[in-house]
Amino acid sequence: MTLASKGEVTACVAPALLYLILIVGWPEANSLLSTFTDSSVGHQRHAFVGLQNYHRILTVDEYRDALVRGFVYALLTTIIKTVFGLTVSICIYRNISRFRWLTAVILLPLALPSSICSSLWIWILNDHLGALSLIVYRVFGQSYSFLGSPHLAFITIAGISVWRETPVFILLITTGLRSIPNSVVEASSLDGATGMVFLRYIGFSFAWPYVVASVLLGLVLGFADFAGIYPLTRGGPGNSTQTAVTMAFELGIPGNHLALAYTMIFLMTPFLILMGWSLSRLTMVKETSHVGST
Amino acid sequence: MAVKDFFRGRAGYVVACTGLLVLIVLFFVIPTKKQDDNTLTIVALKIWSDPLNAKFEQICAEYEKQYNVKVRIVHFSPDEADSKLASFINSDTGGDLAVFPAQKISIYNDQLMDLTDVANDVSTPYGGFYPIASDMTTVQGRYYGLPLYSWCHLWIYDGALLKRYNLQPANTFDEAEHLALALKKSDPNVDSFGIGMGKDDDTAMFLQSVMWAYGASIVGKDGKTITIDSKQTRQALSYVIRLYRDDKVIPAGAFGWDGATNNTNFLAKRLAFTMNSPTILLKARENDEPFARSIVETVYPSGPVGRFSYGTGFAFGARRSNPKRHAIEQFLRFLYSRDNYRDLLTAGGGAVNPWLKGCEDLPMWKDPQLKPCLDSLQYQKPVGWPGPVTPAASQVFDQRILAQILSDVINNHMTLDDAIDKAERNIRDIYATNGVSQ
Repeated sequence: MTLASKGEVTACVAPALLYLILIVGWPEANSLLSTFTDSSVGHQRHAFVGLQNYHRILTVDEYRDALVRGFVYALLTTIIKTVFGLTVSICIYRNISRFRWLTAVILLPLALPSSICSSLWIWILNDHLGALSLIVYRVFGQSYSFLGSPHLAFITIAGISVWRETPVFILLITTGLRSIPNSVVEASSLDGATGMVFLRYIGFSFAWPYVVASVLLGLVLGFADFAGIYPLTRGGPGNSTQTAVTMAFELGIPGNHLALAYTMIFLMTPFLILMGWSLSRLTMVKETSHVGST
Repeated sequence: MAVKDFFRGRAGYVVACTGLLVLIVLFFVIPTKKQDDNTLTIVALKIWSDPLNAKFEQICAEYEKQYNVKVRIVHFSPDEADSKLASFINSDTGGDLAVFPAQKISIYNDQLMDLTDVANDVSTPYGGFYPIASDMTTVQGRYYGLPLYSWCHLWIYDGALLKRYNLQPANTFDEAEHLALALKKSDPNVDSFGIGMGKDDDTAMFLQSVMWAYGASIVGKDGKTITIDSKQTRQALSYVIRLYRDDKVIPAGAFGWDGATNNTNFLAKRLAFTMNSPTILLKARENDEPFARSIVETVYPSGPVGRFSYGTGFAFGARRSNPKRHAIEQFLRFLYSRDNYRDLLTAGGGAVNPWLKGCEDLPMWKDPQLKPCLDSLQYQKPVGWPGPVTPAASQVFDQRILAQILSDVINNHMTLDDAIDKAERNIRDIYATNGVSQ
């Protein structure tokens, strides 16, 4: 049975639309309006300040740097996760029967609550008592302060993010590879497309939407990553690991300048929309070429 | 028609959509259930002393019994304090009474209930509050928070190590530098000056205390004039930079320490001395009695202009719009009654200091290891000193501007002058955001 009339379609879509408007749209719009005010915690009335908050975020070095750092962090970690995710997924796919157990092991970091993850890493990276510090000292004869030097701290938190979230990429991309119908596998095998040739021309085409979904997810998680940064470094040393989200928290909650915090977050939105749009275009192009080739 | 067919059909779809719509409407239309008038919800910080937390619950239970008011306690950890209290302030369903870090009272004062009458009533039998308690909880002479207790920041030494090398705790900051160098020379396996350089509370409290001891301040007495760019600031921060960069007595990884690293490393006997609350001692007493016996605690050393210690503590606050004023005041009067308040502190066993006078005779202050906690009260100054406690001063402290100067000099290779200039710009920006014109 199909839903024929336009009215019926509208009636069916309306609840979902209403849900989106009330649960997602309304708070978002409220936050957006707050960026033009001097809104703070607990104050019901706010003065209109125009674009002052945007001007401040874009002109004060600390805030602008945090925005750029957040962007770099999201992009860098997503690229690494995608490369690792693809590599491991291909390995698993090619040896799926032997490595079923590996899937469970890979998912372990995801099973740990982020607060416990942070505590564990603080222990592991402790410059006196940490396991990793000890191993590095034994191997290189020199100790490194993983969270104590600005560049190393940034690399370390990026590494921890890769460790924690690569399993999501692996899971998604493996799902894509496993969605290839048996008939396609058999047909390509008959045509002599095996091994890397199969992966390049068949596997990757099927996995592409999943790769794009992973990259989108990675970017969003990277931009919004708070639990992987703040408990470990509080944005330090100095401001070397201060991203837009951690800075927004410091401004909004301890600092009580909610409007500035909202502004910081909203300034990331155009990047996210642009990336989402570009990636969805890429998927469409790939899907079109995939349909064309088949 | 089978049930399966019904849900597949048009009618089923319409029913499902209508159901969803009704749920959404109900979500927005039904007002959030207000708490029972006979229930008092207390959003309480779960502090680092289990016996104290248990005693607080016991006092609440006694209050319940005596006044027939149900008390619900919602605990939060120190790490959650900022977000929990922001939601407490922002929502009329988040609780009736909350335990605030005292410096937050100035930030939220226009949302908080005036508790001046209760404050005067409960403090009179004790001889009043310590001055720092009033400084941190009053705005224009009115109490918007009821001071509860404070925690002290002390210098904590591995006494056995000092004894082994015939060394004494430092009485001045210069002595502390010499002591650290002597310890480093005597035992290269132990880090002598065990303070972080990152963004944790201990570092921020240490840096502020050093600044005051050298006569430096961030803001003047008027709470408006930015005074960080001074000779005294350069002297104070040069001292800390010298300890890290030239003397190498502060551990190389100190920029990556969190609030717990100094505790962990000290208890693992990898630090000769550190700056912390007495929790290190209390923890050692639980797990390593011989080591605990050797621990020596002292107040902060003095600098060229005197001895100072960054003071902080907790206070009760209630939302101004809360209709249960009577129950709130009744509970506070009960908690601050002489027996209950003193019992609460005694249960803490030295983990917290009184903010009410007249508690100096409690048994734990006779313990020589804990007495410095009480002694430190006379040296404590609040955030923003010598100016008043203001939201801007709290924000400067929270954003760790002083630690940022160290990082700029040591990690980013800026000159101290440039780093102070940058810090001054940040501080001016924070004050301007808070509506304080220069």
